[in-house]
Amino acid sequence: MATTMNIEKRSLVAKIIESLMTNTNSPTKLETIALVFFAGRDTIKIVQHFTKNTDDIIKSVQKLPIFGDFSLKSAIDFAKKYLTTTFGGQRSQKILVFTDSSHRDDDPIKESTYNNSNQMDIDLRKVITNDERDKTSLSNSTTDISFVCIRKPSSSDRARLEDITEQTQCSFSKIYWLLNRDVENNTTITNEMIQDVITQIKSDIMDVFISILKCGHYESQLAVYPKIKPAILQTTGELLQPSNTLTVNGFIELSSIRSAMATSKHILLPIQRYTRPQPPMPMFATKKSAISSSSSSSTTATANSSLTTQKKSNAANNFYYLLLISLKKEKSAALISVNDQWFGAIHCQKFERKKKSSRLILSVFEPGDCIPWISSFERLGPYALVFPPANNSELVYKKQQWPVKPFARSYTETFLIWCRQNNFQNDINKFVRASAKLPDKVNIFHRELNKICRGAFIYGLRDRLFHLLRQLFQHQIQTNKIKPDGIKYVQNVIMYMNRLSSSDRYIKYEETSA
Amino acid sequence: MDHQRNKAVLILDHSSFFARPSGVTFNVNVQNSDQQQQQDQVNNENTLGMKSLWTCIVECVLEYCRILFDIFEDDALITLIVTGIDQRDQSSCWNRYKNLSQCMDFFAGIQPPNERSLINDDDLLKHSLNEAITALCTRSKKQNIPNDLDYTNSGHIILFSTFNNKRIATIEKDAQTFHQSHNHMALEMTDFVPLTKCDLTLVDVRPLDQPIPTSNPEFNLITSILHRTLYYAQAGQMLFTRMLQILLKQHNLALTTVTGIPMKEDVASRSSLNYDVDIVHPAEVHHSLRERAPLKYWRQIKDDVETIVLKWSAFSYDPENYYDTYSAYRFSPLDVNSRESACLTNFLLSGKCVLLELGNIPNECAVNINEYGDENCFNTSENDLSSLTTTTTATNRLFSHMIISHNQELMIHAIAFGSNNPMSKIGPCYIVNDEKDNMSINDLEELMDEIDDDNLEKDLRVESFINIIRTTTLYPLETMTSGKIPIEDSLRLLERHTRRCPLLTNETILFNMPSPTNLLTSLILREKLSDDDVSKCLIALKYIDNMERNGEQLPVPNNFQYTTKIVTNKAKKDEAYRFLWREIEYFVRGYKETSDSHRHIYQNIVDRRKTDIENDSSIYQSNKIDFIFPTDETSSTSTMITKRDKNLQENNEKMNGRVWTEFNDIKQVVAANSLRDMWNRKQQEKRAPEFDGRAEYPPPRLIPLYVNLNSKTSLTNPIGIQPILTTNISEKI
Repeated sequence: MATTMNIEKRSLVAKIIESLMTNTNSPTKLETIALVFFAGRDTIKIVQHFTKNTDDIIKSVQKLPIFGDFSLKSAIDFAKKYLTTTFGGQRSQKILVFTDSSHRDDDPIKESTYNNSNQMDIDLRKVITNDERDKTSLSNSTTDISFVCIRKPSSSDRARLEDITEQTQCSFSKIYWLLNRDVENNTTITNEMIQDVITQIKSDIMDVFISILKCGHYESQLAVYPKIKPAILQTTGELLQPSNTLTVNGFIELSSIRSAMATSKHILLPIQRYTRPQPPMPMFATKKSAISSSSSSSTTATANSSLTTQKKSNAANNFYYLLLISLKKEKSAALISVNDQWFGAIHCQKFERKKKSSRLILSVFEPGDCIPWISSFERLGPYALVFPPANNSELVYKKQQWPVKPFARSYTETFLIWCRQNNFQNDINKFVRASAKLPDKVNIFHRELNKICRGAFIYGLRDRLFHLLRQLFQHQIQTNKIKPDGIKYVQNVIMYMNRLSSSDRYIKYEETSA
Repeated sequence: MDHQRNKAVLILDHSSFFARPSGVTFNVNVQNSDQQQQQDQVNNENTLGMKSLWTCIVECVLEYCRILFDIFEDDALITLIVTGIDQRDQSSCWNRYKNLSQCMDFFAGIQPPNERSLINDDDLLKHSLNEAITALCTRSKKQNIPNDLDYTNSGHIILFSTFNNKRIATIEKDAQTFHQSHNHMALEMTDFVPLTKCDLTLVDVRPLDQPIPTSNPEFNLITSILHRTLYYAQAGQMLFTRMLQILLKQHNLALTTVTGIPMKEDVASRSSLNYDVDIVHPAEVHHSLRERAPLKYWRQIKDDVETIVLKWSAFSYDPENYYDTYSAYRFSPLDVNSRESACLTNFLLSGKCVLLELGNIPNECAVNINEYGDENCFNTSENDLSSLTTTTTATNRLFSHMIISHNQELMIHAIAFGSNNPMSKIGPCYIVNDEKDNMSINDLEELMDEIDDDNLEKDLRVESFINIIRTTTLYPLETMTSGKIPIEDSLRLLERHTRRCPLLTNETILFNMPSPTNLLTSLILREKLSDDDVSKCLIALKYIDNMERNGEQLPVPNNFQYTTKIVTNKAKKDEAYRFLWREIEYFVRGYKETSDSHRHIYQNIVDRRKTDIENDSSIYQSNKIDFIFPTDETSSTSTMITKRDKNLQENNEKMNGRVWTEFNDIKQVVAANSLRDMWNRKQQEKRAPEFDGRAEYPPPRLIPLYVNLNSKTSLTNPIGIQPILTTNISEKI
């Protein structure tokens, strides 16, 4: 059936969307779509909020009214904002703009003679969760825009679209068109043309990556969604392609991997084979009974029971479920290699919809060793070898602390930071209080003493500080704040400070030096 | 992480000027109680001291170093120069100060400036400036990497001194001369790199009683590469603020105020229960916020320095949650020794993690859905209306960052945040079907019934897999034996442990056996067996032998895969023992090549003659999978799948025999045949290597026969009966 150009462009676009929608109803139910309609600078409407129900989208499209002019830029801006509002801005999102590509009111130079009485754009947004920004592309923007045009845009139109994309700080992805005006002269748009475009769009944005998850001799086939994009290894500049096989290298406890940052997140889904049986009596087959599978030996079985049998016949997913349950129970993550020097982690995530159900989530790391607290993936060894059991006994697992990098950090060790008065005061307080406890806790008193004296040298305070401290201690002794047994320690310290004041360098106070 | 680290040289003027009192006081008085305070008030002049300008500068410089070392660790390229103090060894200038402690040691070795002025103070400063530029041109550790030729060598010089116009002009001139001469030198000397960008920051430090002309910095471009900035600061708080401003600007850092930190307080205390802690971190941390709205919505100015305010959230402190983070940076508390900071850091160092929450998103930065959506005009299903309301309410709670410690390092992560998490609504599996048209959403819904985790767990050998997980849980290795990559050890372990290990509980008897037989399954996995181990294994075998002789029951799992139609108890028991021996033989055979001891044990099993055939196929059928998609073709070409699926459909019967879920249908149990039948069937299924000719064709491997036949016969026999051109080989095999 051929549709002629005589029909309104509006309905043509509606048809494309309708057809796209019917086709994109992918088996994963991963996408959520909203429809934004815009006409005129001030007329922007959300026709359909984000939904998974494609029927709603189709219905909305069919009801679209006709409006006058529009501004593409503000529409894209709006769409972007809408996406950010709903999903946040970190992961990449996709905007599909449907336009007739020529003649823009906001661009008077390109005024053409086209009759645009029914021009309109429809903006269809497809959010693909956690699809990471394309590292290979030059642009850093996380929002991809694709345009769907009725005619192949002329080079100037194309430049304009690219320009708009740049202005809105999105990255330009692709233009699809129905009619190639350079090649074809016919003005009819056939269903095949629409189908072709749809297939293209679909393959570009809806691609599910089928991969094998391997762990030793265990294997499971699964769908990785969205597709893992190639990434660049920073150290060599080499472009790495994700391999078809995700190999489990070992496991890391969730409390050790601690939400390592990922360049992209992917959901891993077991694959269910579903073969629709040929209904024995197609004439009477209702929709429901058509779904019921033939794998059940009796055709008279109710739709429900046959569906359950169908569901259970998936031996291929055993390992997927085993890994899922084990990771969940063990609170662990599997370290997998996506390629050489390219790692990721799989963990189990519970889902909101039903409390008792979970999925595996793959976090893909940046290639190379880019996680500061895991200095090298290759230097990770299995527990059995890192902590071998003594005397040939059975291996008993006990969670171990990861080694701490030997670096003195100001928040893990006590440093004398005196740039604020209260820091200094605290240190002095500790010291003087320790003196009051003498002769108990001599060690603490001497430790504080050494700290203060070192501080006095560091900050060039020694004359004044020692002078004041000597006075203070003498005062303390006079006012009987120091216990009689402690006085000799304090006097030793006063002598030590006397010596230090004339010394060139800091000498640690030791018991013997007294 | 950051390859473009700037070098920083800090020059401290050691001239007599800095021996002057700064006006900043310190107090050694201990304030224990109000009463004592009153009493001590009298002695206040005995406890109060005055800091010199020098002390104030050292305090500031050390704080600068502290923050840099906390955030950049080894990458904090700092050199300290004190005028008149000789540090000739330039080669080590970027290795000299590796941490804050070493910086402190450096100052501890320096006498405070002398009160008598020296004649050559200006010369000493000039000399130090030369030293500083030499240091900046010297290669740091990272620049020694040969391919870093195009390295952008940039650096900062911060000079703490006192200035007048004439002096500034001299310093600028000197800096320019030194810089040019060094860049010339760099062309000829390999251990020098030209300085491509240099910021000269002059800080004019004054005592508290001297007013400053301006609080704003003055800029001057000396050359295109050399920039000069002049700050005026009074000692004390102002100097500290300037230092912080310089630090943030030079190293692209930013401040975040974590607000509303709940802290346990003793009842007597009058202070509020919630605290704020300022943290310093790379400015990139705030990038994620910018995507939402301009930073001004969360910005506050604190002591002349701007900070972003984020709310502490008590949502969850569990580090075992895996948050969707995409960046992580080190941070350091601004006032590290304060009680509030210490409380926060100790909380994080104990292993907890904290989500930081964003205050409300301003309206102008979000789309007001109600305003733009026109429900009267367009169709909106009820479903979406409900999701709509959740969107708007959820906007009130947005987690933007997470603070956590990793092996005692404090880090701030940016979270991929949104009020809606679409991941949570994803179906439980990916469905492959051979339909040309797609199923309706309702049909899908029906197929995608959620699978209850608890139900799954019953059938799977989770405990045994958890053991494998524990064995191969990874830990970093400090020392490496040469030629061995630790992670490969892990792969080898995984291979060994999964080689002959069933996935399902109803597939095995051996792995359900109690002690001492279970020793067999654990010991065989070892690479080396001691004599003791071998005898333990042999004892286990003997034990089973005895059990069989005594006719003891075996722990046959419920819904055992290989249950046959045999009904009598005796026969059932025999069947089980036959299977067990078969399983033992299969299990040990997998490891017999490991060592002589393993082979010895295997020989022992063979000698018992409990099993007849040696069979290569796995007896744990669920471990092998039939791939739904051709593994070599990643493209989801629909035609390919359809054909593949048809093939699989033909094998449907076979498929059903290998389901891990229970055989609750008695008819199916009967259909499963005897063990012998199964082995025979298995033998037949054993695949012969692919014929070369067939392998060339893609599945389902339809190969045209007599390719040339058609052309020839058409010549000789134009109206003859068409021969069958193709045959489906796979059907015949």
